Amino acid sequence: MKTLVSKLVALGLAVIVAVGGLVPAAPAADRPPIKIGLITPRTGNFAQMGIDMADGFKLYLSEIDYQVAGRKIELVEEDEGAQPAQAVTKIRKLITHDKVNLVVGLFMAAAAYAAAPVAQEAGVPLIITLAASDDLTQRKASKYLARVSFTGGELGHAAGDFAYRKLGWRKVAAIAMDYGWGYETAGGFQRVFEELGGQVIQKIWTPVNTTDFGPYVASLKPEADGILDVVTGAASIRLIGELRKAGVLDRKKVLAAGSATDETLLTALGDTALGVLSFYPWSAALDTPENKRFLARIKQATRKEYVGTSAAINYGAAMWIVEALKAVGGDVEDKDRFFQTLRATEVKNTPRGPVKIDRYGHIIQNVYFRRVDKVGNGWQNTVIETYPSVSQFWKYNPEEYLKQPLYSRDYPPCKHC
Amino acid sequence: MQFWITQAFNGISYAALLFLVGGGLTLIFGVMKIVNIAHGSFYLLGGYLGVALFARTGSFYLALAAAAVAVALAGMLVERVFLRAVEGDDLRQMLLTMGIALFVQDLCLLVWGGDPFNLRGPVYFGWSVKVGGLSFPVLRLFMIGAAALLFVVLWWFQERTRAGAMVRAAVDNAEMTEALGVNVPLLRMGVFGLGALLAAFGGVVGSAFMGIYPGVDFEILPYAFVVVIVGGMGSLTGALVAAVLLGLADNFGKALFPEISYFTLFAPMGIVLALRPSGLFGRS
Amino acid sequence: MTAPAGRRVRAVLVLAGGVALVLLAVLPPSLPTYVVIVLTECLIYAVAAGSLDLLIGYTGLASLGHAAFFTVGAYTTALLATRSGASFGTALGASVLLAAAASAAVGLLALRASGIYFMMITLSVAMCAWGLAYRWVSLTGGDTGIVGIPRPRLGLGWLAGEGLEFYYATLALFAGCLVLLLLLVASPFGRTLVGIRDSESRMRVLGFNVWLHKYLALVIAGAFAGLAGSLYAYYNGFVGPNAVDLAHSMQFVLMVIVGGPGTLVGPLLGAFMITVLEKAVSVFTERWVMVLAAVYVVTALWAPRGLLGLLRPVRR
Repeated sequence: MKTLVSKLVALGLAVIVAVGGLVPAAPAADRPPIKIGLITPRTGNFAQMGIDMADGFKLYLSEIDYQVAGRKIELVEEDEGAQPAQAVTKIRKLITHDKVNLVVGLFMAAAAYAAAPVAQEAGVPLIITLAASDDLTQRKASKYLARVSFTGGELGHAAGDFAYRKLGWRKVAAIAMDYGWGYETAGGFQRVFEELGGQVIQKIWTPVNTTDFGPYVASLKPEADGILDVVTGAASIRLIGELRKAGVLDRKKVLAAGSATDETLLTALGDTALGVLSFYPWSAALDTPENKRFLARIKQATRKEYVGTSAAINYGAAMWIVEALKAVGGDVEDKDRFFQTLRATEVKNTPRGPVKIDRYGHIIQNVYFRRVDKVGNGWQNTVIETYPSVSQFWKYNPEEYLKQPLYSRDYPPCKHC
Repeated sequence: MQFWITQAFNGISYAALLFLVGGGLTLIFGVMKIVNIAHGSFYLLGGYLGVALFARTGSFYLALAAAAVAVALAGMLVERVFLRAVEGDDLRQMLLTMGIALFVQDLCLLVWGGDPFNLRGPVYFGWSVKVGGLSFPVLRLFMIGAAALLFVVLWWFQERTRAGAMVRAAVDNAEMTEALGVNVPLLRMGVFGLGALLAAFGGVVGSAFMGIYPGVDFEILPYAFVVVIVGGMGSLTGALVAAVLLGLADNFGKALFPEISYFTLFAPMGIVLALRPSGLFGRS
Repeated sequence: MTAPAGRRVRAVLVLAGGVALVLLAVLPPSLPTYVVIVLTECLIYAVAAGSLDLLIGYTGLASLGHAAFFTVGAYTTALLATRSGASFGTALGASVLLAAAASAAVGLLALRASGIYFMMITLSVAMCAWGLAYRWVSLTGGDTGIVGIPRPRLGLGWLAGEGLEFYYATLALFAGCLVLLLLLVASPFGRTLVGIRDSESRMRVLGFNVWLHKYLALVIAGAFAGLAGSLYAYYNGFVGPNAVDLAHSMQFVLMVIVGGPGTLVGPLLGAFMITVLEKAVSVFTERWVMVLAAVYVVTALWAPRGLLGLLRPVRR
């Protein structure tokens, strides 16, 4: 009987301690630090991407000694995990518990869609540094949301133009992952490509964790001049391997969204991906002094031979945020002024080139067209063409553009399929 | 015609992988009646070890054998140290194997990082055999061959050897088998190790076929369960037949009805269960 | 253990439970917002875990498909709240009904088997649900799921926002469910379920309609799961196929096992514990998954009847 009561007391104490872990520490006096919440995946399928994102972001912060405009920068890192629900919870934690001044990061498109309303409701600035999801800076654009990564639509438009005018393609078969990123990239591509006179003759949607691409590859229409590939991550290894084995890569060119041939995948892809063309806002082979400097420093810091786009983008994001912070004298608490300043801030010398955002909060940046080449014992994404200052709306008028529906599975409809 | 042959071939090669993963699980189910949630972890470990050993030695077959054996030993250790303590209690077994699965997943992330790997294998894995106008990748042929060989070996072991007879007896009635003087605990440990070995084998082959990366353990587990459920718990033949059925259904489903891809995998399972809950070859 | 000691144990537990409920009702306005948020999540999972215990602990039906009904409830609420602007009550009610209906349909299939085969069928139901959630894009939004679910307006605005309004709604529903579950378990129906768990054949011989009892238990548990799922949708503001993937499906079962099957209160504790653990540990280490794994392993090995089992002396 006594032991039962003592056990209950022990349980109660344990609960208090656990809850204590959730209670925030008391704030410090005198000019407090600028608190930035960095949320990226650290566990699950996308863990490496998340670690790369954080490495890139932190590298820049460490170069400026975590200080700007006389205030220290305190970074609170959180794990987005592999489930949007976790991202939502962690952002709630960053906002209510850590009381961060701004939230930075996010990898999963679904997590961004789910988490944006949370940040918006709390009035905390959210700067997305990887997740795509077109609509967040279009129809769902909100006052304190910015994105300095890329979107499917943005990249797809440029690719549609490139495929028609530079590659001379007229008929394209598209194979894309069956979720937002796939819809938006293929949609953007189709729109521009068909407006120029081309035809998308096939759209294959593959489930997100397809293991065997055999059936899909076998059903690719032979009349296509080229193939649009929007299959990313580990699945890209399988698709490109399958394309190579089925002999498709010998007969046709593949134009892929750059996440399919990201530097972090090149070792696993190996020679199978040679010759694959891609489009992305960066390449490790980009020949600018800023990029070279960045690569040298991050390779030293992380000891990784192949640095991924996630790191480069986040490094540039940190540069841009800090620039804006400098411009407001560190006064991040005045959210309106800070965000206005962000909108006016342009940083020209990030590893990927210039970074600035449009009226809707999305980045305007260079899109690079690359080709996987063998260099010595390794591989690289050689830059073969640059489209400068690409907007998420391509050359369209934003108001007109927004009248059309969001790119989805069924939009634009496949008239020539 | 070309279409049907290619798809059927792809389906059978995918079935080979499913058999490797599901076959081990069905043995564990049949003999030990354990819901082994850590089965995907054996696959994952096998894959990573295979990649690492191949990078170190340059020999695919050595890497394959060593990875499979290493994971088999790990499996036996897990059985002896952890599972034996919760024998007979379904729920505790689930909790335990879940804990082990999560632990192994995070451990692999810690050791090998999160970037995906692809096991290159011997140079001929990149080739294709051309017959008529069709291309048959050597890797897929290897998968089919390896799975078929393993099935034959295991079938022979189960049907024609004394040890196999003991395993079959334990599936049917463990208490009786023990009463007859068979060292059932040792048998269980061996079977668990065998199941782990098959899963690891699948992991190595899988890492050559589709790469290895964090999360593949929980991605492959549902497929393994489907093979076991449809084929019948404890039946190796059932696992083979189920794997072939599912590989074909999945492939043709994806090619002909891409809209409902997952359904073409799980619906057959639902149908089989509705008609025969113990699976095609299971004992009711 | 003698009867008076048993009654005393129960009395202490009831008192402790009462104290806990009072604290849950009284403390939150003075607690940090994040703690209230986490407590809300704990309560939602507690409803799900408690109702699952009805199956696992009291009826002996190890159902791995609870997440499927949870998810049916979640998507129902998500769709009604975003596409039809339905009120809280409507969405909640519809979720409960649809989840119960799904449970009723599944029960007809699942109860054809027993033991491990039953487990497998329920697992396959969860996987089918997952496949549907992923692929039926026009209905479920596929991978993205359904986003933008607004918090229900309950007219309790005087509770000064910060998640408190929703917290109290959840707490009220939790308390209601708890009472219902306790009544169920103490009722003749509940005792029959326990009898079925202990020996189906004996109950059949005694003239009970075993199948009907099991079926009703499944449907009732499914209804509770739908309720929890509805709250989950409101809580997160979105629903995705993750809600019914393998890991999440297992999570419900684990909460029951860790807490102590067959005690009702144990799984509630298990739900609280696992939810808090996931959130609190990641503050201290990146390897929080390993810590969670270790907790599972240790509990499985040394708490044979779950955590609540540790609190009670062993019966001879």
